Amino acid sequence: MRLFMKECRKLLHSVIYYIFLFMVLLTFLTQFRNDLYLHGADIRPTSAGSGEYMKEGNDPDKIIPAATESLLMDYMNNRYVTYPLGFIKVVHLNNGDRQKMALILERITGLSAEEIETKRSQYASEIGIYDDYVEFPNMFSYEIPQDLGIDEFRTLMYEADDILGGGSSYAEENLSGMFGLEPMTYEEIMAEYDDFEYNDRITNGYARLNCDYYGIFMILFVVFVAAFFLTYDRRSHMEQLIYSRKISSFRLEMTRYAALSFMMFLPLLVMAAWAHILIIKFYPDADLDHFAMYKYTLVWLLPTVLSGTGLAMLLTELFSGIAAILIQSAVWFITCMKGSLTGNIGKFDLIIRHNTNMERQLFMDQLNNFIFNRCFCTIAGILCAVLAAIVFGLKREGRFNGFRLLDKVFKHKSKA
Amino acid sequence: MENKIEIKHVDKYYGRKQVLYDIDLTIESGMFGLLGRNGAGKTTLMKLLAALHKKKSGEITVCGVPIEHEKKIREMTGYLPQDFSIYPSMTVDESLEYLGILSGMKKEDIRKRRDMLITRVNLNQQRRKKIKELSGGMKRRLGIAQALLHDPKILIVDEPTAGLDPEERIRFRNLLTEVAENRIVILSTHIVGDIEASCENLAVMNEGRILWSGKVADLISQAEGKVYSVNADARFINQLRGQYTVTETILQGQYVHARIVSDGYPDIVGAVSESPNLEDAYIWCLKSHGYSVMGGEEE
Repeated sequence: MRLFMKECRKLLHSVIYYIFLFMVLLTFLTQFRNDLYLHGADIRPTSAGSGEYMKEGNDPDKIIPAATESLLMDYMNNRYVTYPLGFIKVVHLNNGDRQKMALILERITGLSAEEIETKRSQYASEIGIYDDYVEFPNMFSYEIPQDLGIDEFRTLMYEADDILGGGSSYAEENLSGMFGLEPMTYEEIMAEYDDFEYNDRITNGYARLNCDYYGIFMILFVVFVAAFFLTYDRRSHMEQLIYSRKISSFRLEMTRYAALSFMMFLPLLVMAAWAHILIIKFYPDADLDHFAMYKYTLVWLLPTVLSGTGLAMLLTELFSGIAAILIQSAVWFITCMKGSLTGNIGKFDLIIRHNTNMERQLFMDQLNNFIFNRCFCTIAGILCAVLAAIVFGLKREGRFNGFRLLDKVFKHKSKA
Repeated sequence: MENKIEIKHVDKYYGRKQVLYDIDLTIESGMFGLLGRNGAGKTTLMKLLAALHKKKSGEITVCGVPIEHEKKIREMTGYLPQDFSIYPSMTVDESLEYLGILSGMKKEDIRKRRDMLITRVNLNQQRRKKIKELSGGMKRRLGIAQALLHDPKILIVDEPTAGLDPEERIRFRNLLTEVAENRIVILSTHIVGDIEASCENLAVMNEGRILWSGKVADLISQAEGKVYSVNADARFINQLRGQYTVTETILQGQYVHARIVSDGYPDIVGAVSESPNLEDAYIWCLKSHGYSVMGGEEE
């Protein structure tokens, strides 16, 4: 406990920790608080509105024609926009892949590759455009075969997405959102609001929103603190002195892990309290769940802090502080660009998303995934910290000196 | 339990490069000097003894405990590394408390030992000061205090006086001699004067090998009859340096008074045999093992 307190105190003396606190505060002000002030309290809707409330739908009669038309346009232009790792990528297929795509379209529309090409050439020469992406509105009349069910259609779209390298609008997880959107009925909107007011008792919904924002940024923030903290020994020329002490590598590293996690989690609880106060102010007469903010912060964000810190410690011990920051930043960037903003809770995702104070049911439908994910992140984080302790032990005995990934870069720079 | 360190046939590699060759050494209670050039392998040997490196082969026992029992070894050993420093934002008191915790000491023991050691190393006025505010000499004294904090049987100090002014160096050597009672103190240095002034026993290292070990007086006596002084015309000083190993030159007008280490009587008129000191003996030791010394004649 004495060592834990000392490590916490060391953090309190470091500039990076105050930068971290500032970033935590800034995140709160620009995300959650900003949302609340701009948007105001969610009041009970009085009418269905005019298409403001949309929902993902699974109606095959909407999805199949819309997706087919989109694929046909993309095929004729041979230009497909995909997001394989969260980044936009424009795909142009070669002849072999175009033929495979043509077979998929032929199965759905009955149009052969030659028919499509002839029409495309005619239209393109008529309007005199050859390079740009051209819309070909209602150019084809085709019948979708009766025997083509939604399951086979989804399989065909899966194949199309595979040909494109993944991340396209035709991917399994994107079909409903891209091509099946439909307006919510008044009853559905009211049911959604009732869920928010009575089941979530308002604070639960907002707690998820607050956790979503911090869940994105904490993976990034913690690596800076952990990397600077762990390399402080080397920067202060303390390594040999610490290595020569009696304390076990495991105890030292795990105490540091606990101290880092504790000191980085504590401000999140403070922010949760602030969020709680704001909600009370915005919903003065509501029956709020006064534990919700703290409960969600604990079960959602503590695993985030534990996994992010553990990973950062392992990367720092294996490589160096700068390399750890670069690697974890890259992981963060790729991870947070993936998938949708709400109900995006994969079992093994480092970052989970539910960027709304509404849609309780969507979240609850994935509660098992959520619990699994948070347990997985917690265990993975602790495991990373244990591995970091093993690597620290090897360094201490002079058996391992870290992979110097960036040494050449910096040596080269210093020579220049 | 025997109060000595035994090193038998120890080899050490950094990757594929061998840096220690068949080290055989026994170090007993008191001040022991490890003398050698920069890069001779002294720090590597120190780190092996502090359980900070692994040997490739051979045996090391510290007070009967095999070096593989790292926890026990670290408990028995105090280490002052060459580039000693502590977190700059900590105070003297805080730093000792922190290192005491890392050494597994109880709170009360830390307080007692810290107060006693701070007084002993004369840092009472500085105990609330931050490390970054201490002078080089104060830091080294704090280094000794931290190394002695857990009352170790063995104290390993690596190049402790480098960069200190003469007064601080003398104060530091005296401090080491004081603490050497009832414990083994290993002083690694390339400064001959430090060993001459404080050690009874020493080992001479070069290129990863022990060239000589034993009592300081015995090494000096081995250089008897190998040291001469000459007075020569200052114009011939470079010629003199080319032919002999010159350890000292004092310019006196148009003449130069030189001290020479030579196997036989030098071919210079008026050369007088002198009593060797440790520096002469060290140079002779290197020469007699075939190492080139200061541009003198090669063996």
